[in-house]
Amino acid sequence: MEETSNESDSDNGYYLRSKRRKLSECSPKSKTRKHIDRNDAGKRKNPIMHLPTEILQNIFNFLPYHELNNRVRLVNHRFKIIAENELNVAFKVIETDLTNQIKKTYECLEGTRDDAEIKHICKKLNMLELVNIQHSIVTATIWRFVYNDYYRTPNTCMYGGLLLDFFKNFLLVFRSTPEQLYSPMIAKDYMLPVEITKIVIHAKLFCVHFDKVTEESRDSHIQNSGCKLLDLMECALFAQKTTIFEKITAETFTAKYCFFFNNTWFIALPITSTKEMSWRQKQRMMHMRLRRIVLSHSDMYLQQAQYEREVALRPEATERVKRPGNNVYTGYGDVEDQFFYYGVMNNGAYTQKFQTVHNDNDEEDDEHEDVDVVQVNNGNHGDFFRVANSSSENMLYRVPHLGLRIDVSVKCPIAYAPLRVLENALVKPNIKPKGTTEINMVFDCYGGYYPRLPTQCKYNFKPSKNM
Amino acid sequence: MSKIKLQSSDGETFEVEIEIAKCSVTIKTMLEDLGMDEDEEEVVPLPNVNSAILRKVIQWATYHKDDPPPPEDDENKEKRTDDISSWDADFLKVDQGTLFELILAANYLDIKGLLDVTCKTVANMIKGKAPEEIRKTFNIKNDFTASEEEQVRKENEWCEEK
Repeated sequence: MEETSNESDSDNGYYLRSKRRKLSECSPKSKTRKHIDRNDAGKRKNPIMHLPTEILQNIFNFLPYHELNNRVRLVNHRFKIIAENELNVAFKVIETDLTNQIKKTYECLEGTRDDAEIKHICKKLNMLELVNIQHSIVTATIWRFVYNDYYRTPNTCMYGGLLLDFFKNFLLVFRSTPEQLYSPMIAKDYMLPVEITKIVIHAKLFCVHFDKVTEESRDSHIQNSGCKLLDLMECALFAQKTTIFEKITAETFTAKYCFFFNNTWFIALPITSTKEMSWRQKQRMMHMRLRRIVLSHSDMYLQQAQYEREVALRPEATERVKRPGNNVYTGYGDVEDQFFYYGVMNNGAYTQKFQTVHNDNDEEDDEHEDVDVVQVNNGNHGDFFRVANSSSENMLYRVPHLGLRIDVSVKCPIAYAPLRVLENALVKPNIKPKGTTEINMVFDCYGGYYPRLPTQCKYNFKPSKNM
Repeated sequence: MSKIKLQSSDGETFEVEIEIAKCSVTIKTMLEDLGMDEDEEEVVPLPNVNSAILRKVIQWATYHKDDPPPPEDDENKEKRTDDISSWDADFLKVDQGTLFELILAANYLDIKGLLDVTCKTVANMIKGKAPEEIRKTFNIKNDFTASEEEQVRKENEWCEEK
């Protein structure tokens, strides 16, 4: 039954100063109870505000995440705090759930020798792995600003409610009727069910929006957003990562890594500057660029790995396992005096473009996988780096067409270290991080040598408040 | 059928079949812990529930006494709110104060079925409503500053509801 309200602090309905309460302080108990009569009157007026937090949580549990996010969060402070907590927790739960499902599905493989069953398990794994990549990219994008155990985060949350709904829905369908999900993949390999494409599209939208609205716009984020560059690159499951050194002390994190993305390019062309950009904008664009490269590289090489896995697991397959179709991703954009052009291609596309000798059959689907080509490619990259400095002739002869090497050196307060480091650290870092974050990145793309493009680009993360 | 006496906070006593009272995990545990003898005339005090609410709770429990035990809480289960039976829906056609008292009683007495159905009912009162409508429904005051509200709206722009 509705009760009409005459209660209002001011004409516009707002309190004039902002208030922020902790979840635990939200219960009516924490309020001063000088006048019990008044409290009872309040109970009659708006009884919902007198429910304990755990009950409100229980109620909110029955609401879809996008409603919690888009509507409930806007009701009042107490609803906002509880709803945001639900959203953050949901995002973590999905991560655990995905990990468990992958583990469980792998275990199923051990119990069967039936080809049809193995095929279905492979498709299930493929889906989970794809969704997992999306989840980890979103984590890398937002965790520093949402909630963490290492330092105070600003007043925001995992506000991708709709995205959470899609993750949740995928997992629900996966559990109850997985065949509904992978039937398009059975009919046509590499065809994704709509439950997954929705996640992919919305994860991308959400990350771009989050970078801009939450990260770029706030002062407090200047320092701690540094190692996000590394968090993003750590998501690249199929890039080779070499740790040159890693030093973790109670206060500081110092490290140097070398990442190598095969069949990837990254060119920064000098251009006449058209518009000025703030340091934060440049940083945001770099995050976006890296995220794009990491995502497309992971997607393409995950597909390749999944294909190889299925071939290996199904020696008695009646029909041939189809290898991934040729796939190329390109991105570009300009930032002040630099024009960036970057991309990734999968093995099929690489073979077609640079080694046409091996690929004289246009209908590559009808061919067996040309494993040799794959291995030759990888071999080339390895050889190249061994001889690069010793012989320029060798270099010319062996230089790969593509391949991106990123050297990263980082020094930052331990609390701002990459997520992987913090998760594995035995001691929780100090709450108040001291010192500055410095990150130097060098992008080397020797493939630019042929078309006489610049082969190297540098990026430094040295924030200052004025920029 | 053996019976048991429950006493509400305002002193009223209700005689209930033990099997019905036991749908409350709190009472069930209490009886087990006390090792109550079925012949004894025991009165179980329930200081957190008044007689009006206790009467409703007993009514609900009596109707649902033959229900199968509710499934364990599962994080991964679909959160449906459209599966409230028509009897429950009628039973819960009460004013907000009573509804929330029922939730608190169900929580205290640990009756999962009742807690779920009452929470679902409240969730349905929130579902599909704009923030202002939610405030109106529950008589909640907007305690945001304009800039706080703006911040949240900005965040939500990435998936603007059409």
